[in-house]
Amino acid sequence: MVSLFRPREYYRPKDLREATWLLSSFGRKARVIAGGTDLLVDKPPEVECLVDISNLNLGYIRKDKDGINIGAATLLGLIESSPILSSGPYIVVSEAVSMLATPTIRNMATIGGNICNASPAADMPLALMVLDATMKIAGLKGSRILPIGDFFQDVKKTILDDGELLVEIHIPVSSKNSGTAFQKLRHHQASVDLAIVNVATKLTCSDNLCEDARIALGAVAKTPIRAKKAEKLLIGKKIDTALMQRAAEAASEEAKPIDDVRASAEYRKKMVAVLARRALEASFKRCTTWQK
Amino acid sequence: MAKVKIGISVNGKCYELDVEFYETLLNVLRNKLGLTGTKFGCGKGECGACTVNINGEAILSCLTLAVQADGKEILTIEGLQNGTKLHPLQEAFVKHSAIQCGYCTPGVIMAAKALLDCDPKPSEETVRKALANNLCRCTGYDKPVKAILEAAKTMRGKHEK
Amino acid sequence: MKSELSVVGKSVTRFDAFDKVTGKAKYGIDLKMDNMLYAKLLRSPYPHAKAVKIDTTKAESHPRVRAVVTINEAPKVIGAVAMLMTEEGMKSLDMFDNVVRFIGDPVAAVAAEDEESAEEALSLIDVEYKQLPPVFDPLEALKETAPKIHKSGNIAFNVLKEFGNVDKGFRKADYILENRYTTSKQKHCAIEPFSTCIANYGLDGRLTVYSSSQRPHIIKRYLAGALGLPVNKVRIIKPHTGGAFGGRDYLIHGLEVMCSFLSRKTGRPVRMSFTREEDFEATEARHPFIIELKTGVTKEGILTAMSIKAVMDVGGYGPHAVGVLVNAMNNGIRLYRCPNQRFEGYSVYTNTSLCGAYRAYGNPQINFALESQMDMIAEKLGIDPVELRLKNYRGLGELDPITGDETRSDGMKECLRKASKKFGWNDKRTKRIAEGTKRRGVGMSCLSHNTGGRFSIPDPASAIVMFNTDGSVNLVTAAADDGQGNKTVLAQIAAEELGIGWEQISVSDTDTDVTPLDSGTHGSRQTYAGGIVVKKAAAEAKKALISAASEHLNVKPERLSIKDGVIYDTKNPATSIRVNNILRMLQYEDLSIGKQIIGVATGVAPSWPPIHGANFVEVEVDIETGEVRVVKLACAFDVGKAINPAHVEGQIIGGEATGIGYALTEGLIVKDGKVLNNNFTDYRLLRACDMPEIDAIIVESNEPTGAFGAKGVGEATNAGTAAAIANAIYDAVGVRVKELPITQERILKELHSLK
Repeated sequence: MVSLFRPREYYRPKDLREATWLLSSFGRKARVIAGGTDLLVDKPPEVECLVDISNLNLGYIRKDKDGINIGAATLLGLIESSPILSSGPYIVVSEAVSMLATPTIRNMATIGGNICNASPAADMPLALMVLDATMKIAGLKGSRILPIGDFFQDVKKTILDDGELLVEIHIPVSSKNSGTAFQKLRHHQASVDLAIVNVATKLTCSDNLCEDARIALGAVAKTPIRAKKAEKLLIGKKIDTALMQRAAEAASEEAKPIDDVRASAEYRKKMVAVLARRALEASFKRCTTWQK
Repeated sequence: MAKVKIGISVNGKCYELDVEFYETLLNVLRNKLGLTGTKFGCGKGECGACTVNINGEAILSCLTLAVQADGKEILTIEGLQNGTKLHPLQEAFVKHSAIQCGYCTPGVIMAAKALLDCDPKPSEETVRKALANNLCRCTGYDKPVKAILEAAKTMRGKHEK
Repeated sequence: MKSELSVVGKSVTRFDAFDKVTGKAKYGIDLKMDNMLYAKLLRSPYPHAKAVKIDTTKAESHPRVRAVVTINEAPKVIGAVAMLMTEEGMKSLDMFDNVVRFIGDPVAAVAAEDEESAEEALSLIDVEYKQLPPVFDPLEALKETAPKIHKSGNIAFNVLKEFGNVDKGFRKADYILENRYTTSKQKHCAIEPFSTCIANYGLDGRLTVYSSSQRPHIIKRYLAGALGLPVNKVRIIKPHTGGAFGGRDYLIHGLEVMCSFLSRKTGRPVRMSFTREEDFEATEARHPFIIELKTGVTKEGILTAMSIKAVMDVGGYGPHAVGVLVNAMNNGIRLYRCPNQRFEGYSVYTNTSLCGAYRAYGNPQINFALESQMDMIAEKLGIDPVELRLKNYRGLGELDPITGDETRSDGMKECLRKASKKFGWNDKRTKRIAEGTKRRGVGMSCLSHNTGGRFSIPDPASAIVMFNTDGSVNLVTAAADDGQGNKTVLAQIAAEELGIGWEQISVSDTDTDVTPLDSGTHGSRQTYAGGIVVKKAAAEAKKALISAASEHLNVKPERLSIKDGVIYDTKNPATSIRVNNILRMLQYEDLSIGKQIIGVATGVAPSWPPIHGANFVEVEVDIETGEVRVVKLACAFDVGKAINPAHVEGQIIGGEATGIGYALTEGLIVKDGKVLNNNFTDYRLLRACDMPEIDAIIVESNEPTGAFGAKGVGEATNAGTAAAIANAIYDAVGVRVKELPITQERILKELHSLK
């Protein structure tokens, strides 16, 4: 029989309790809809109930002493233009978003939707990973907080249980002597494209001495990953071109890309090294710029 | 089939419609309201032929459920002109020979309208970026971009008066 | 052209601009008819199989299904359009067999009360397939041992032409170069998916089809034959079309035929629309070519011999298996003067989606090979690539060796000169900009493209010009305007010939009941072949008017002239009558006359004049990633005369966008017969923010056989871009890629092997 996208029920809950109750009741047969830009492309046939979260007031970007909190239903376009997320060490967030899809899509899609779509090639999660973001998840029994690194399980699969809803992303305060950057490799002559490879990095340095490092890689594994061995190469050392090159190559070793219609595994692996180096160089430059 | 009543305003006119939960706004506009100016090109949000304005923003109607549009104000290409007077964007497209097959034209103009409504003096680069979601196979985008820049000028002139 | 032109040469507003810009224009999928059914196609999941048993009983008993038709009842259409010469030729185009030859090949069609039911019904049709061994590679398909895709074998068509003696010619050469080039399967990607036909078979046995075919009269004839109707019983009406680019050149596989058969079975109008995925997977695409090109030159850079061996991958069916190969041959042979030339070509079936007509029809493929090779020759001999082209191209007064057609207008020198100057060729060639990991390079190519199909396919054109009582005019033509604006351009030609203002002419829609025989819109032919008959028809109408005025004024017709709406005796200007007065008298007032002042013209064009062109490209290559970015492009095209300059510019920039895509970003990726990139994410067209700076230059060489000197332009604009880009990449980083599309992975690989 033909399987078509035919939800029979649609709700716009007015609070989290109602939302999580609905998601819980319908389990696998429910889907959250915010912007709809992934859901209405995928059109999964098993969906019976749509839970529209636009009335839950989850669209906000707030800064306080502990960091930045972004509501899961915040439009990507607002994230891109947010002064909070376009400055200092948080610039990697708006940088990543600005290269994602098109302005039209960014005006419809939400950060939560993008994260929960769990594409291995997603741009946003890499920026959040290098900033050690945490995810606030609401469920019937209350909420829990997870580091973003634990959020992605597999291709298009997150850790969310039935009945759970991502409600907020928290970015902890980054030290002022940090620099971040994002790099995305697309097909040539195409300014709109999924990443062939994408990389986000963060360096925290004092006088060229690396205090901390983060390297996140996309499109080279089943989920976005951290190149932790490469990070270790940097921490505690004096940053120079040769070291960044070595770290980039180490990151490439940690990548496990596949061949697909978009690129070969071999090319992707090579490009991780190139992009990681470029991102590290840009991070380092920003690191030293902020300190002036 | 599970239906629900929605109320939408399209081009200034209010409609109460019964829609399926899975029905897209594109389908409602074209098949229920007979407004065929908004086009189907891919159904996946990649070509932009279905672009309309909702509450002033450029929105892909093939990726919008009709229920999501409930209570909103939608503007389609048919609603752009004022009686027999064309909108400056429409006039500029005609003047600049920016229309060839014309299939992408409504979507491009609606994307441009949303841009000019929030950025009255865009650079060429900004215009081209704003059209990133609108594919055209005929024009190579050159004349449409020129038309949009001229329309922006005209609209600024009118506003300043 | 000594006299001042008043309408021709002006960028007048196209007729349909207002309807299109307000959303009023109706395209196929916007049309609805009362009591209409919706149809869908059941497509083969296998690349090569026999549909041994097609059981439609369950589908037929679906409560909302009204008819099912299978490939046992409705024919598939194969063969070249060129075969539509005789009734037997047409019959040979019908194919009734139960073999499916590519993944997506239609096997049955359903008409239902709504699209969803039609879709459901498809899954109720039980097809028992017996899989047959498939062959996907045309070179494999040529082998004796390959599975046979058609009864006649795997060679759909082959051609061999030799002029002079190539072996002797190669012996005379100082330098021989031999290379193999391969090109890709580009998809038209018209923004209106290749779809939508509405067929209405009435109880009176009349079939009306709303189709965006580029050849309404041709498909009228074919459908009549397929349904066993006299041709007068078929009527094709063309709605607005959202782009064609060759993809609607004839019938769309499974569309009009199945729709018509379903309508006949149900007695109701039936509409069928394809999804974008079906468009990518199962409608015509550009033929991939494998070209072996061997050229011999003297050290002064004069070509002594040229041998082309081409294998063209046709896919499962070959509606253009003859035309495209022959056009590649025609343009490949004609471009350069060379006393010894040989073209050996094979159109080969494979179990992949069928190929067909696509903008420039074989020329982009052969041009890629020729112009890459000329670039290599230029480098080897230390000659400026532009000089090399100037030395060798076939110009004014020279004959096309295949057809004997003479080149009567030659804009090549001007194209090369103007484009290279605007580009800054000499300056850029001396500077090799290198910054960080980016390297810039420049490259060029030239081209010629035959206007129309005068010597290869049936190519009639017709026009009717009718006067209204007030002196205004209605032009009737079956030109199929797919966006290029040919209706407007033809009206400009008529208005100029008649000496009337632009406001005073209107053009008909295309309806085969009313608009006379025309081969349609393809081969860049409407401005040229259509323009010629339009101008003739206008002249005839004028003649009829003058003849009537001559009788009325009692002055010999030779003495009469028309100016500013007045017909006057040139020897005695006081003897005159206003145009609208004589028309009113003839058509209305005089009860004893009452006739339509009309001009009719029909026939083929006398020639297929070459449209010359030149492309100059600057690229930037990233040596770490292999990415290429086209930074700047300057191009020039000799259109003979630009009837509507804005239209010509639009064609140039749009065509170049397609050409850049052909070179760098496009091409169906097919694995084991399956299209892997059936969407706009994985099949990438250039977007507004991807376009380089383009300088589009119009050259006018004044073709004497064309209306007001006009030739054409539509296809030439995407025929030369790929070679120019490949040549620029070589200039930038020393990497020569002979396969399209040129991918960054390939460039990086080549860069590494250079080290």
